[in-house]
Amino acid sequence: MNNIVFVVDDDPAVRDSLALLLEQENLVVETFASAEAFLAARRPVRGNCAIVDIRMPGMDGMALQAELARRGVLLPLIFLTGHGDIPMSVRAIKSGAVDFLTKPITGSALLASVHAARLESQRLYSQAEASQSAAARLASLSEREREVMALAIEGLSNKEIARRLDISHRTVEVHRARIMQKTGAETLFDLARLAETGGLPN
Amino acid sequence: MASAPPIPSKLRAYAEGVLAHAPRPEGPARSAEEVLHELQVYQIELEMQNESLRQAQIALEESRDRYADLYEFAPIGYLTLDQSGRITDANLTGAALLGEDRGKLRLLHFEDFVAAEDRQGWRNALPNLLCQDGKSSLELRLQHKDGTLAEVHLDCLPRRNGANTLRIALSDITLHKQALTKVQASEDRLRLAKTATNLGIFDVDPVHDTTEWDQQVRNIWGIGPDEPADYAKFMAGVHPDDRAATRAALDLAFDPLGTGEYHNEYRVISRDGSLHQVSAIGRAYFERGQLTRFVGTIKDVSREKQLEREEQERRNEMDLLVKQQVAVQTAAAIAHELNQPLVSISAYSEAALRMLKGGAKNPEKLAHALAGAAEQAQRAGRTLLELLDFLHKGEAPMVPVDLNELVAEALAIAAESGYGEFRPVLQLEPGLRPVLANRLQLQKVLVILLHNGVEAMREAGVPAAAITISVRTFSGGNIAQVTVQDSGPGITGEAAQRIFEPFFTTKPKGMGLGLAISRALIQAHGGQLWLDLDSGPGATFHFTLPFA
Repeated sequence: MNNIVFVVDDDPAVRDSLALLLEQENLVVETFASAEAFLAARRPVRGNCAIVDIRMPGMDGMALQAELARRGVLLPLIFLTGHGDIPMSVRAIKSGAVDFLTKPITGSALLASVHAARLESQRLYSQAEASQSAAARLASLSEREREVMALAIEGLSNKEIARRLDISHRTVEVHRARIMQKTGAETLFDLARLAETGGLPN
Repeated sequence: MASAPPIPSKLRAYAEGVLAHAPRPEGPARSAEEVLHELQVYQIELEMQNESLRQAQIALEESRDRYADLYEFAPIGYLTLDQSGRITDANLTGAALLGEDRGKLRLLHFEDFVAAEDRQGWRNALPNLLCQDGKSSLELRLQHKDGTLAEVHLDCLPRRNGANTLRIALSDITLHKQALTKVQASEDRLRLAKTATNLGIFDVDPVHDTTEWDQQVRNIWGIGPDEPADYAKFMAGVHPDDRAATRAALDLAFDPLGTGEYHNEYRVISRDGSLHQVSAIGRAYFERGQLTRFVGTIKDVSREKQLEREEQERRNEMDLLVKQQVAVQTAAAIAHELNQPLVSISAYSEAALRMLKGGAKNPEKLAHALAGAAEQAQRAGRTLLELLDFLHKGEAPMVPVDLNELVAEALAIAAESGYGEFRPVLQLEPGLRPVLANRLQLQKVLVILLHNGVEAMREAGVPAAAITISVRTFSGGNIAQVTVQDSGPGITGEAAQRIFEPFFTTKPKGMGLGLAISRALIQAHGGQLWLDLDSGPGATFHFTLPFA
């Protein structure tokens, strides 16, 4: 299930030939004639990636990328582009595409991209999971503890935090201990990374 | 006669008185018979004298009457004024000019007939007119009782026999003045028109050998305002390369058997060395086969010509730019069309290669890959041929094409190329004459219009809708018109303005060349292709083709 590569292209010969090539690498290939058909049929999982023609009738590659982002779907995209699509390719990469391959493409470049895209998928999912658990741990903090944590991450000493929040030095120490305990962070650096992963607002 | 003749009854007494005082003749007394004879002779002589006098009087009276008639009925008004300016005598014309019965004129002041504005001027002038010697003239306006004004010219002659009087010859110059004013206005208008249009005027009179050039013409030739103009000076200014043609144009105009019309464009080198492009229009007039007048206009069109040249240069540059861009875009179009099959060929062959390296355990798959590669290679070839067919304008021969058939062919091609999902509504004209055309090009134009329609309907989410294709004839059957109307959202705004520009496209995969090339192809056939903004709701394109 997690070694599926999706091919989304309106040209039937391109779909068929790419599928055949990718199958030789023991990948499972599913092809779709349009972005709409793909969105309707599949919910990608960890390890998936998609090869998408950037120009298609109806929803094109860029629109598919935007729609996937809107839906929160984690799926690395490899765009197939033609001559003169460079500005579009740049935008695609900026929006998180793994790669873009200019037609005609070579098998080795395609396979290398697919490999990279599948690794990227693993990374995206791990990152998402870490972010989720961090967010969950941060969610258990009280309002005051969040305030203390934000100031601690900024590098303020306990004394400075106490003065800033107009509480006692002792209270700050208690908050810090509880923060470390609740989040499972062992150092201030761990805590900072957790806050970033979990998306704590500064 | 110094004194009046005595009346007959007293004549005898008068004669005897004269005789009594006369000296007696000397010499011997003559006989009674002799005296009687003498007296009879005298009597006859006297009667003869008397008759002669009577004749003279009749002639005199006739002469007097004749002068009276001349005076009364002269076309000029005669007035006699006394020294205080009162009218003592007037002829009929004079009375008519004053607008009053002659009987009522006597002793009326002439100034009462003068228009209010000129009255003071008349009062001031009258004493001078009365006392100066000889004739003098003036002009003034008379005002009639009904208020109408008349411009008059006065010739005045004072008379000094006893009391001073002034004789006036009065002529009506109202019409003359009006004509003058008209001429003046006409001249003003002409001057204005000349200035506004920068027209110079020449007028040649070969009979009196005079040539008139106005200031505009002189400016072009660089000739001073008072310098006489002639043919030699004219020709000296004409650019040497244009002289022969100018002579020929003049010869043609001066041919008494021709129309006399002259039209010539040539260059003039002014005396200051500046070059002028001029356009001359004129007409020669003849009397009994002889050239009597040659008149016309000369316009300096240097600036217009310069602008025209610049405009042409700009157009050429634009054409070149478009051609270059078309070339670049054509190459891009070829690359685009070929890339698709190349992607497949490459992937099929690499897959096959890998299968072979792995021992080709599945020969069916290997065959599929190789067949796929071959099929795509052929597709690439076909695409290339189609493109070349499309781009090679004019190479295919013009043949009679039945537009009804052409529509059917285009529908078949649209369906084959994956654009067949619409419901065609055909409004054909049966028995249509064929047009002379390049079949492939017309086919391509129709297919492009169908593709555009289908794509617009797909984009708008109205698949399987109708596309109406109609074929009609216009202009008494001289022009065929083909109309393609889709059921999409139509084309408005900027897109409608720019739809025929090369490289303008609303489609993600479009090159923006289809309609631009289609329009060029239809124009090459002598027709027009346009977007109809008034027909809706879908986009409506028409193209026309002339029948052979």
